Amino acid sequence: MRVRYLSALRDRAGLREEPVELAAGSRLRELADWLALTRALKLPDPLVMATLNGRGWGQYAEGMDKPLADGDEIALFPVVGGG
Amino acid sequence: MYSGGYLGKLLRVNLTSKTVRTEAIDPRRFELLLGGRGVAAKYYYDEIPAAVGPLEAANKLFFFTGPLTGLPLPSTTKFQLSTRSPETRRYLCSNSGGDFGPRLKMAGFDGLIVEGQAADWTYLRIKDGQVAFGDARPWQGYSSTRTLEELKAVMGGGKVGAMSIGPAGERLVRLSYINVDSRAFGRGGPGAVMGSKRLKGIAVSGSGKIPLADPAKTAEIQKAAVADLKTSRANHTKFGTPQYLEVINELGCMPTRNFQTAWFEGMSRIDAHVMYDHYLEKNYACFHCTVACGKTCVVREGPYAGARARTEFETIGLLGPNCGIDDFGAIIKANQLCDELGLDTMSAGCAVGLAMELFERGLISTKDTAGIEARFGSPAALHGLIELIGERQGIGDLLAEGMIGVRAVHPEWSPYILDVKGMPPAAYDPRGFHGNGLTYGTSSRGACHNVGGWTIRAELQSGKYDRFALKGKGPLVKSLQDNRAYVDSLGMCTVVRGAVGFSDEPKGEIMKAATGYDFMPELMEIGERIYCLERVILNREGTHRQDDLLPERFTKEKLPDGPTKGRILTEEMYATMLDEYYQVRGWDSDGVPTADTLRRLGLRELIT
Repeated sequence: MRVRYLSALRDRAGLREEPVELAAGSRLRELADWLALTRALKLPDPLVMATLNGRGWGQYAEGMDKPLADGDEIALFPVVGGG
Repeated sequence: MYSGGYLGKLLRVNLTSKTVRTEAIDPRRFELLLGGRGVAAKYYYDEIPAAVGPLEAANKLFFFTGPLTGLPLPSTTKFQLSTRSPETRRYLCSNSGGDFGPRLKMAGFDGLIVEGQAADWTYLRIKDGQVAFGDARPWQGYSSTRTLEELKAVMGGGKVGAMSIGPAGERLVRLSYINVDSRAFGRGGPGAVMGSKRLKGIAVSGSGKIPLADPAKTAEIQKAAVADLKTSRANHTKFGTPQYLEVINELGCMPTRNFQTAWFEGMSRIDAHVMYDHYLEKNYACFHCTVACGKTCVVREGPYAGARARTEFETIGLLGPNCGIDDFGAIIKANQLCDELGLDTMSAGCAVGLAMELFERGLISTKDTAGIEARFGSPAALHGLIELIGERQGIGDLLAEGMIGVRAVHPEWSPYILDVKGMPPAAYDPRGFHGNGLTYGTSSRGACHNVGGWTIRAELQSGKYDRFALKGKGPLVKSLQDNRAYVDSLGMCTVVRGAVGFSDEPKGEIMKAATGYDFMPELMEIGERIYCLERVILNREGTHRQDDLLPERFTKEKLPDGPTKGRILTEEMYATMLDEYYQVRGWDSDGVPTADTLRRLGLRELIT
C-alpha cells in the first residue's frame, strides 16, 4: 500500500509519500502504530485527517479494525476547514 | 437592551440627491437577525421589490457590520453586503474582510446604505459622521488597487478603510467585484452595481470607540483565542487556504478543464509548497487578526516577473487546473489581472474555462477571441481572455454578461455552461462530494460553497455517511447553512470562529460579553430564520425548485478518470437529497417555506 502525506503533513512526515508493507492481516490499527513509530504521527489527532481509499478512517464500519490490502491508498493531511 | 457591540444606527447616502441621513435601527432587528447578513437581508427585503433590476438606480447597496465587528478579538473584520446581483439577477449576500467594517463602526454606524445614481463619477469620504462627495472622474480607468491608494490619500492617510471598483466595474461587467482593502465582496458582480451608480469608491475613518458590555470577559476570551489559534491555525498562518489544493486534488474533486474531470496532473507544480518556497512575499492580516492567512505572492523571474497578487485556494483552483494551467507564475499574473480590472477571480476562472472548452470544441474561433488560441493550458489564452472579459471585447463581451447571459444567446452551449442561479461553482466538484452538490443547489446566492454550507470536513469525518452517500445530507447542509448564516451576521471571520467559541457546538460566551445580551439559546434559530428570510426573498424574485438544480455536467457526465473515476450525481440522486433538504427545512416540494415554518421562525413579524 501507499501512504501519502499531503500539504502541511509533508513537513511533519519529512516526505511526500512512501510504499508501506505491513504483515498480512494488518489493520488500520497496525498502520497507526507504524505511523507513530516511524513518522512520529500519533493518530487520532484532532488536527489531522486520514483517509483510506478516499474515505475517512472513521467511516468504515470496522473502525480501526478495518483490514488493509495490497494496493490500498492512505492519505494524511491537515484537517480541512473553511471554504 | 444592548450595552455593547451595536451603535444602533446606520448612514444612508443618496447619490442622486447628494443627501445624507442618519437613521436609528430598530433593536428588534438585532434580536431576531443578529446583525451583518441577517439585518442586511431584512433591509433588502423591505426596500428592493422583485421588479428592480441589478443595474437600475433603484437597486441599493446595503452594508452591515455585526455585533463583533471591530471588537478587540481575533479577526473581527467581517461585514456584509446585500444587493441585487448583476451576475445572478437575484438577491445577493456577500461577506468581506479588510478594515472597512471596523472603521465604519468606529465612525459611529452599524450600517451604510447607498442608493440612487450619481450624475458623474463620484467617491464618498466618510469621517466620523461627516460625508463628502468627491469627484472621481480623474480616476476613471484606474485599477481597483490604485483607486484604494487614491482614496487613502484623500483621507489624509492614517487608519482608513476603503473599497473600490476597477475598470470592469465601470463597464458593468457582471463578474466585477468590490475590492475592500485587498479583500473582496467577490461573487455575484457587486462591482457592477457600484459601476451602475457611478460610484468609484468609498473611504471611511472613525475616532469613536465601539462599546463593550464586559471588557474584562472579552479580554479573557481574546487571550484564550490567540493562544488557541497559534496551534489550531498554524497551517493557515504558514500556507493560507492554498494548503487545501493538494488535498482536494488527491480526493478527486479538483475542477479541471471546465470541470470535465476532477484530478489535475499538474498539481505538484502549483501546490502550497510551491507557493511557499518560490513565490510567497508576505502574509496579510485582516483587522485584529493574529492568523494572517492572506498570502501575497510575487513572481521573481521568468515571463511573468513582477506580477504580484494575494491569492487563495479558490483563485488558484479556478484560474489554474480549471483552465489547465500548471504554471504558478501564470496564475499569479492572472490573479493580478483580475484584481486590476476588478474581476471576481472565481467567476472569471469559470468563464475562461468555458471559453477554452468552446474553443477546443470548435464552437468559437480566433475571430471571437481577438486572435487568441484559447486552449486549455495556455497562459497566453488565460491572460488574454481575462482582458477580453474585463474590456468587453470579442467573446469577452458575452462572457461579461455572466452564465445567464451566455445561455440566453447560446442555449446550445448548455452542456458546457456550469452555474446554479447564474453563479458558477467553486473549486470543488460535487461528483466527488455529493453533499457539496446540495450546497451548490440550495445556497442563497447560487453555486457558492460558503453560503451554501461547506460540507467537506463532515463528509470525510462523519460516521453516519460518507461523501458519496445521499441520505443525511439534507440535515447536514441545513445545519451548516444556518451555522454560516449566524457567523456571517456576527462580524467575525470563519477561520477563527472555533477559537472564539463558535465551533459546531457553539458556546458563544462572547455574545453576552460583547453586547450584554445572551444570544446563545437562540443562535441556531436565528441562523435558520435568516436563511428562511433569504428564501422568502428568492421566492419573491421567482426562484423555486427548478433554480435549485445542478448543471448537466454534474448530472449527466461521469468523471472519466482520476480517484473519483465513474462518479456522477444524477438528477435522481440529487432529487433524493433535495427532497430531504426541503423536508427538514419545512419548505414545500417547490422550495417554498410553509406557513407553519414562517410562523415557527417568527418570520410573520418580519414579512408582510
